[in-house]
Amino acid sequence: MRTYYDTLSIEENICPPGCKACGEACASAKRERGEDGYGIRELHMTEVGAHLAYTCNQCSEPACLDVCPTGALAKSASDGIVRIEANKCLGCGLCHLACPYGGIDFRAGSAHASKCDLCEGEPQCVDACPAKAITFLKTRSIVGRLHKDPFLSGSSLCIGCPAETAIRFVLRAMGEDTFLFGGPGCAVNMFNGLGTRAMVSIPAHASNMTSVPSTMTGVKRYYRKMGKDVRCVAFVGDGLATDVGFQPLSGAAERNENIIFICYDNEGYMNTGVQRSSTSPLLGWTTTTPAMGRRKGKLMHSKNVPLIMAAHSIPYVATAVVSHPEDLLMKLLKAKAVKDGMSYIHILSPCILGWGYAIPASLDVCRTAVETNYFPLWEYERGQFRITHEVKNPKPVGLYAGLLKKSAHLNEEDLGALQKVVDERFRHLKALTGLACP
Amino acid sequence: MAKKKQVIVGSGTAAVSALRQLRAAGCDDEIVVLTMERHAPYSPMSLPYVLLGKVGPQDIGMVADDFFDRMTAAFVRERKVISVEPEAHRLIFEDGGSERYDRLLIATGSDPIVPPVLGEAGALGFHVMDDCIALAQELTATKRVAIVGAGLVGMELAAALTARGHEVTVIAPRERILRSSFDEEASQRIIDLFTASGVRVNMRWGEAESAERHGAETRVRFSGGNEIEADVVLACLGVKPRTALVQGSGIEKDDGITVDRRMRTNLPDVFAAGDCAEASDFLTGRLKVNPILPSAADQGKVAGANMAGGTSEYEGSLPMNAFNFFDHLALSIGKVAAGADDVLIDRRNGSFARLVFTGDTLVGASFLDADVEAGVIRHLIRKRVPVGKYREDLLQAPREVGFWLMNEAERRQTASKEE
Repeated sequence: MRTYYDTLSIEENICPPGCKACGEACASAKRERGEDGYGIRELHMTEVGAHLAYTCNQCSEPACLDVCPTGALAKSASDGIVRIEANKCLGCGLCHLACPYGGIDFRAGSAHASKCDLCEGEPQCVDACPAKAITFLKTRSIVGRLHKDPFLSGSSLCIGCPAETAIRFVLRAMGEDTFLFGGPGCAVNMFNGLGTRAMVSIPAHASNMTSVPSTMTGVKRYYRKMGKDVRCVAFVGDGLATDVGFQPLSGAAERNENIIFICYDNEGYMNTGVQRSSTSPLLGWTTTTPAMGRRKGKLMHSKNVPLIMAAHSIPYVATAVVSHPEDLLMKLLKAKAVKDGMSYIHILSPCILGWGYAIPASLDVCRTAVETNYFPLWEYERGQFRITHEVKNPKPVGLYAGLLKKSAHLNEEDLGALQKVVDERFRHLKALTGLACP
Repeated sequence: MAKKKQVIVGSGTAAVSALRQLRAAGCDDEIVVLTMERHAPYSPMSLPYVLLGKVGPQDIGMVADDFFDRMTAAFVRERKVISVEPEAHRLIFEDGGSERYDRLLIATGSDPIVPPVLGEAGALGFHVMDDCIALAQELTATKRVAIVGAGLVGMELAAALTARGHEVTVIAPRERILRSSFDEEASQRIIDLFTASGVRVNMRWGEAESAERHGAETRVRFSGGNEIEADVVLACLGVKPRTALVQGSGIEKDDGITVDRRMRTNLPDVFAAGDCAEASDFLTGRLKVNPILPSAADQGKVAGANMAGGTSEYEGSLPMNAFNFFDHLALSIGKVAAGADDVLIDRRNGSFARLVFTGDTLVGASFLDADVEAGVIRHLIRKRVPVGKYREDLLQAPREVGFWLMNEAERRQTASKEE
């Protein structure tokens, strides 16, 4: 049977930039016990947006053990902790050279190597972290966490819909003490459940299209008054976020409410008959922007809502797709960590019914949207724009349009026009990423 | 099928690591470990620390007392093997006895190089525990120590003996110290730090030409024309593979016993690992003796797996060393020599960092008092992680950028595995 041990779990990229709290707490705990060195260290690389902490992984087959000349390092079979026996340690530094994960601290003047021993069951770094990035997982909670999903299996959404994948992802990332908000749209069926059966195990509320941000504001402020840190997360469609409910959203962003607003953008009112919305793309077909005769779908440009949100100067804005889950997760965790204002994440969520493609192709469509720069993945973090997934050789947007029935009517010339929009928008974004803050 | 008899000659790192791996791989053959020592397994690299009194001889045991019982292996001490008879599958002992084997691992380690001139005048090298204990006693009563050789062991001893109040002189035969680990600039910086701490470092003195002992004093003359007088002369000129036992056996050797990537010698059923073996080098792929403990541990593991019937292959030796002296830390991994185009050097805030690249990948790194996770840097070299446009960043912030590159590479690997 596999053995599970208690362990530290560190969420990456939610550390406050420049923070060294975990390492300092660790070093002082060690000093109190008469040891020196660090068992955990912070790492900040502003250039690439990496902010994290690293410590010993307490590996199952530790490389440090193999190279210790005196057997001073050993892994305990009962608690899994790799410990250094100080009176046997030569201070030769070989373990420091052998560990590929930076788990062994050894520096100029060190008499011995030093490492994390989980403070023998009460790791001091956990409480020291202001971002709550470090958790001490007891064996039982590790197993529990792996299986926990706030949604029941099955849903009333169309088969293959990436919005369902996205919302499950969102809630797993947001963790406990999360309130979910929505309004009329496909995803609200996930909140309300089917018949008498509830679908979601956390508090969820469906408001009018125009009152989601205001409702969230009220709930968040109430709990803040009560002294409890909760997360208010909206998961709404583009019709609500970018058309009907845009003014309240913009208002909440202006007030910089501490809420997490996530828009799944399927580029239209897909729940009510595939009508156009303000994010429906130029030349795209919908039932209200038909492609017949000389009419070639929507005549207007789509509204670039994430950029508009960034223009509110809220702490965090990002775009994401479910085909790049690590990127999505990183962004969700960053949004989750924001405690002093609003975060907005815009997820492109292809619609099988409204866009016209085969059920298994959702991820291909997402991926191609990214690879053609039709939907670049970027983030805006406290004034700094950054492309999180650089596409080396962007493919022509025709490749993306070719996957979808809603753009089946486009000829070479139309695709050229669409390509021009894609290129212009990407150039704009690139220019923004170049404006590094000093 | 009848159980086989696996015999391991030697009880150092490679031997212990092979034994562990044999059992871990599920081998239930009879295993015999023979050593010429009267002590339980220890690593010779611990000896300088014993000499300096940092740890006691009882603390450097590599394994727990019940290790051989748990491994159900016989551990035979003071049994020196002097020759191998491969056709008969037999080992001959110094005391005339012999032992049969089905599979053999030669893990005899290495001997210190002591030039005859020095040896005859009583200069000491040490690579076995008993020499070390004797030397420790001699050192307590003396003041002036001359260390011939400026390799890692010599310099480490020089630092520690100075700290203990001895008057230490290091004699480097050539223009550089620690030449296998550091370039000229780093070497000079280290010399300066030594000199500032009161160690005399004499460069370019050449080889020892003659040595005589007058009472308690030894006088050594070098080919460069200089002389030194000291109470104790330590020869720290490196080590040579201990391969006398394969002489005339038909087992091929060059500098060490040559082995393939599975740690097999040219003869069936005979393996070699550790300091006595000449195995492939990670960077060049050519055979090379690389007498450092991590290589011995890896080679032992590969040998053990293959002796148990597996098909494990050795990745190759990658030199690496940590060198701690007078509150300074010097680290070196991989390649040192390189053309100017492939090298980046950073000299800020009194620290020193030097990176050696081949194209996009890092192949060598050395640091002096830098903030760096050396194991992470070694991992970048071992996994040939493309550094690409982050070269300069890696140099400026080796700890941060190194870890980040490693992390991203691991993530890519996990992602591609899942696909």
